[in-house]
Amino acid sequence: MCRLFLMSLVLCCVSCMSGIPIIGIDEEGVKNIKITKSKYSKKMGEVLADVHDAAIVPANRLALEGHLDHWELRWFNVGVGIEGKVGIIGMVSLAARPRIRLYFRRKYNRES
Amino acid sequence: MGHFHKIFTLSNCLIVILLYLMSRTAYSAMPKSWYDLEESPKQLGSVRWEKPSKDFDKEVDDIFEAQGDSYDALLQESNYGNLKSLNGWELSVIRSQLALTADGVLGVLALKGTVAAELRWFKKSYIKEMEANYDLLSTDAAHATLSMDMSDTEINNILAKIADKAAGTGRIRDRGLMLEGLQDRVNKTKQMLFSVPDTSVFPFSLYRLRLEIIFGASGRALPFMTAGGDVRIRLDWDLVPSRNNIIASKPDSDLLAATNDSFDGLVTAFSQDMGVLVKREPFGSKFRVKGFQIRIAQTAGGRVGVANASGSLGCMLFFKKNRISRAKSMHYFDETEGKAHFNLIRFENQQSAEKEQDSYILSDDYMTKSYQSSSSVTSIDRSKFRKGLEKAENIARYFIGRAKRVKNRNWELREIRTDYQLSLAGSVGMATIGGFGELRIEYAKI
Repeated sequence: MCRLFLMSLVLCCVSCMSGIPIIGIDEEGVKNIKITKSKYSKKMGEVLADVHDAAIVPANRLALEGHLDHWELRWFNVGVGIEGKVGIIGMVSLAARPRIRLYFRRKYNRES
Repeated sequence: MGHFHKIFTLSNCLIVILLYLMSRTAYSAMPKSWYDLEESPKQLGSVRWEKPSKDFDKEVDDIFEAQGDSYDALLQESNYGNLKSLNGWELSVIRSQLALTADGVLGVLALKGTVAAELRWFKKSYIKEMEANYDLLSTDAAHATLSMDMSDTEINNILAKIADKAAGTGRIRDRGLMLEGLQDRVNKTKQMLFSVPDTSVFPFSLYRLRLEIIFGASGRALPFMTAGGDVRIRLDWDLVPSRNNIIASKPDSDLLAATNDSFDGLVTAFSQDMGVLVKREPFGSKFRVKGFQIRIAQTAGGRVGVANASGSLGCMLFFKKNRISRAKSMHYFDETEGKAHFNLIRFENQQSAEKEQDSYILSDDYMTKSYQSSSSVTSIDRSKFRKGLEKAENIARYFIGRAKRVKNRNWELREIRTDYQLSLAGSVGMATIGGFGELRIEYAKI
């Protein structure tokens, strides 16, 4: 029993030492919460991959098929914002907010 | 005995839960002197460098490591991430941003409208061109680039097209009013830019001036964004190099002792003072100071100074490092030590205006009145400002040093940007949320 208690204590201390602070704002002001390093990188990696894959396919198709006669897609950004919900025992969800920007340029600029 | 055992187990559980909750709210803060600024000149004593705690070092390392790991995870999880090039497209850079709270906690910002990570895909053949213009294009605002050698007719044609487009969206009722507002701001800026002297012998030079103007539904230019359907316009003035060479290259004594209230004096002062950033170069083996940006504003009485505000107040000045020897740039830096002051313009009502914008849509008139009644001017001692810059440079060095420690298979640190704020006493510190600050880190794919 004492061993279980000590192990929990150690786990808590480890968790305390290696967390990533997530900063949010609600009606009452700035709120901070920590999530573990591994959870952050896993979740963030998944979210980035999902948003990224959803963007690259249509952007690539748009560039290849050339739907627009006078415009050319030259670059695009895939931005991911995060929004978390905080419960009594910490962060209960981390949701992604994707944002995509496409940049076109007139084709004749290329020659000029 | 059994009863006692249950109570003991229950109390253990409660202690563990309590410790867990405490661990969720235990943060290592940045040294207070890095961000908490002295507002009274009397308080500004010697600028002693305060070392961060080991816990804060670890927290920063953890953040950088977790970011690097998540970018590696992206490449593993994605169906397309491991392809070196996809039909000419290349995932080239990831930009992330961190925020600092008023308590000194650095972390990832989870806030509607902010981006925690941004992936940039370039068409391979245009990577150089696009990267050079990335900052110019990276905005939600409609934008146009103007230069000093454009005629009035050329400029007016561009502004008319912008006003047409805005009116076409149905978000601006009075196209004429908007065009008038645009022309007024552009003409005033053009006059200011004609007074810019040659600063090529100083450590830095002004190369771009950015105007960000927010228009309300009526077509009137507003000082802040409202919760309504504002139209944001970004106009970049690029200084043509030949224009800068009109004035003789050797600065006269008036130029060296930059004055208080003029735009040219302010530009000259910053071109000199930022020499602090050149004194101790380089940042390790690879990193160099690239440039800096400063928001300036003008009061109703015509006084020009650094703006302590966000929104569309004033304009942003972009400086880049001059390609001259360090000895030459330090010569003028030393000569101007302790000379003159510059202004800090504060907009007192900004926060109350921003608070209210959440609860209801502010009228154009309210926003304009709020702006007109809110500015105050403080004179900043340039020698104190230079000391503040030394601290700012040390903070930048700290973050570069920590970020460089992270070894990553696929990504390498490319650029770090830190935002600073200026106090009434001339001290400089990291900007916090609630202000307008952030720390941006860019990783490039290896």
